[in-house]
Amino acid sequence: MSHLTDEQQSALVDGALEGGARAAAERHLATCAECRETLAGLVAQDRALASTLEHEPGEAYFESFAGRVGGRIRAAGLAGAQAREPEGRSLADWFRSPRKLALVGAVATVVAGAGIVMLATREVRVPALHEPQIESRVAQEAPPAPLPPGIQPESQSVTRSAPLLAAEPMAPLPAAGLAKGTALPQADSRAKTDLVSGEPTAAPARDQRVPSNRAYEVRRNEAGEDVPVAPPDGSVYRPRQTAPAPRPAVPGEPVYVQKPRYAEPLAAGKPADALRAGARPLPADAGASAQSADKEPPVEESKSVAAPGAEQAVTARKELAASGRRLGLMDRGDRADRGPVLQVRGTPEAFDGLPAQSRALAKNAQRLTTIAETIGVAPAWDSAGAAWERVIEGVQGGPLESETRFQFARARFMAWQRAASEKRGAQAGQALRAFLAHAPQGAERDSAQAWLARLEK
Amino acid sequence: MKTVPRRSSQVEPGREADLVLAAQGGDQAAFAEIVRHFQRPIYRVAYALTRNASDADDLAQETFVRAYQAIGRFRAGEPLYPWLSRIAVNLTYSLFRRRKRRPETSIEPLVEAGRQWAADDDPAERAAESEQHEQLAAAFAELSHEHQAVLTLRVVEDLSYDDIARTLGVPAGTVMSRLSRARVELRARFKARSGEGP
Repeated sequence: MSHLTDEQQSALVDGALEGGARAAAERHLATCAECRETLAGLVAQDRALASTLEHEPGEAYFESFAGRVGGRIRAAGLAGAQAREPEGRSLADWFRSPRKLALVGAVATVVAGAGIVMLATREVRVPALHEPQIESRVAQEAPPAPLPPGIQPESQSVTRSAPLLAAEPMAPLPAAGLAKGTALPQADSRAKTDLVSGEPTAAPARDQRVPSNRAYEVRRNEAGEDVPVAPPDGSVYRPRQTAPAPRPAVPGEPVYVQKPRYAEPLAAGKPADALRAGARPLPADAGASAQSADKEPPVEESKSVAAPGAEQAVTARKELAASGRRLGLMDRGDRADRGPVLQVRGTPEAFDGLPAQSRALAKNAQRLTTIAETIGVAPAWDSAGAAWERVIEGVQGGPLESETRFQFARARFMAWQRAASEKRGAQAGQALRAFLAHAPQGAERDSAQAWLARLEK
Repeated sequence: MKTVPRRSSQVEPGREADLVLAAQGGDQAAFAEIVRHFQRPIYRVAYALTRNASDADDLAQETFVRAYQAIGRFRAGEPLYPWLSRIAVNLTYSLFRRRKRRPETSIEPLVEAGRQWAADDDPAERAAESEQHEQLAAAFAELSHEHQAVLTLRVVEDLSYDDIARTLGVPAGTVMSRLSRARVELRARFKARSGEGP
C-alpha cells in the first residue's frame, strides 16, 4: 500500500484536496496509521509555527500606527502622490522604473556597440598587387592607342616595351653614376622634351590616363573598357596630371619628339654623356621584387642590367634568366667586363618593321609576358597569351608569324602549367599545334613538341 | 484550487474597492482607513519574517508608504491584501539583502512568554513549550526566504493558495509544492534541533 505523498499530506492540512482525491486520501488515512501520524504532525507543526511567529504588540501600537504612516508620508513629501495616474503612460515613467531604465540602457548599449562595429569595419580596402585577382587585372592593361598624327613612329621608341630580361649587353656604368641614391628620377612619359631644343612636346594618347576615385588607376582601352593599371608605387592610387593635348604639327615648325626615357647603351668611360642622354642607373633593389616590372616603366629593347653594386637585382635576373633558358627562350652571354647579360632570342626590335598598330600590340604582348614571367601566376599568362593572339593577325604570312605563334603557344602552355584546367589545356594544345604546323626546325620547335607531349600526357 | 481560509477578510470586497478609488482620488481619510484595516496582518507578516518588533514596525510603515505612492496604479476591484503583503514581503527581502544575514531571533516571544508564565499556573510546562517554540523559530529561520514567506502567508495569515500565488507572483501549483517542501524541510530541521516533532 502506497502512502500519501508529502504534497498530498500538505494539501490535506490546507484543505486543498477536493473531490475524488480527497475521498481517496481519507480512505487511505482510515486504514494507515503512519500517514495519520504524519498528518497529525504537520497540523501540530503549523499550529506551533503560527504561535511562534505571531506577535501582538498591543492595541496602543495599532491605534497610533496610521498616524505614524501619515507622518512618514508627509515627511517624505509624498502627500498627494497617490493620485491616479492617467491611462497613457508618459515617457518619464520609463525612467522611473529601474527595470525599464535598465532595458533602455541595454538597448542603447547594443545600438552604440553596433554603430562602433559598423564604423570600425568600414575600412577602405587597398588592393595589393600581389593578390592574384589584382595581378590578373594588372596583366590586362590595355594596349597602346594609335599614335596621334604628326608623331613619327620612329620617335616613339620610348613607348616600346620589351621584357625586362630581354636586354642586350651594355657598358657598365661608372661607380659615380651608380652610387645608391644618385639614380636619376624616373622619366615620366608625359614630361616630353624635344631632343634638340628641350622644349616640351605633347604626350602620346596612350599615356592619357584617366584619374578616378578608384583605389587603383584604370585606363580606357580601345574597346571602351576600364582596365586597371598597376600603380606606380604598387600600392595606392595617385592621380596623375593629365598631359596636355597633342599639338598638331605645323609645317615649317620643328617636330617635337618624345625624349627617350632611357639612353642607348653607354659608351664606357663617358658617364657624363651617359647621364645627359638619360641613362638611368639601376637602383640596387630594382627588379628584385615581384612588383618591379610594374613599378618600372618599360625598358628599351637594348638595355643592360649589369650594375655593379646591384647584386640583388642581378641575382634575381639570373634566376629568371635560368628559368628562361630552361624554356629555351634565352641565351646568356657573359662578358668579363660587363657582368651577366641576358638576351632574348628573337629580338623584340624585329617587330619594329610592323605597322604601328601591330607593333603596339606586339610590344604590349612582350610587356605582359615580362609581367607573367615575373609574377608567375596563371592569369598573367592568360593575359599574355591573349595579347599574343591579337598579334598573330598582324603578322600572318610574314617572317614574324612563327615567332609570334611560339610566344602565343608558350604563354598558353605556361598558363596551363601554372594552374591546369580543361580550358587552358585546350587552349595550349591548340596554340602549340598551330605553331608546330608552321614551325621550322630548331630549338623552339623542339620545345613546343616537348610541351605538347607533356600536355597530351 | 480551493483552500479554506482560516481568517476572514479584513474588509468587504465592495467597500475595499470604494476605499481604493477614493484614495486614488486623493482622499486621505480613505487611505487612512485602508491602513487601519490592514495594519495588523501586514505587521504580522513583517514580524513573522523578521521576528523583530522594530524591523516589523519599520517594514509595516514602509509598506503603506509604498502603497500610498503606488495606489494610483492599483486596479480597483482586485484584492488589496495580496498586493499589500507582496509589498511587505519584497521589502523584507530587500532588508535581508541589505543586511546580508538571516533575521535574528527576537526577544519579543520570550517577553510574551514571560507574561504568559506570570499568568499560568504550570511554569514547567510553559518552559517546555517555550523551548519548543524557540527551537521551531530557529528551524524556521534556517529555511529559505521563499519557504519562510509561503509558510507565513499560509500558516500565519491563512491566505488561500490563489492569494499566496498572487502575493508571491508564482502559479498556484508552485504554491502547493513549495508549501509541501517547506513543511518537510521545517520538520526535518526541527527534528535535527530537538530530536522530536512539534
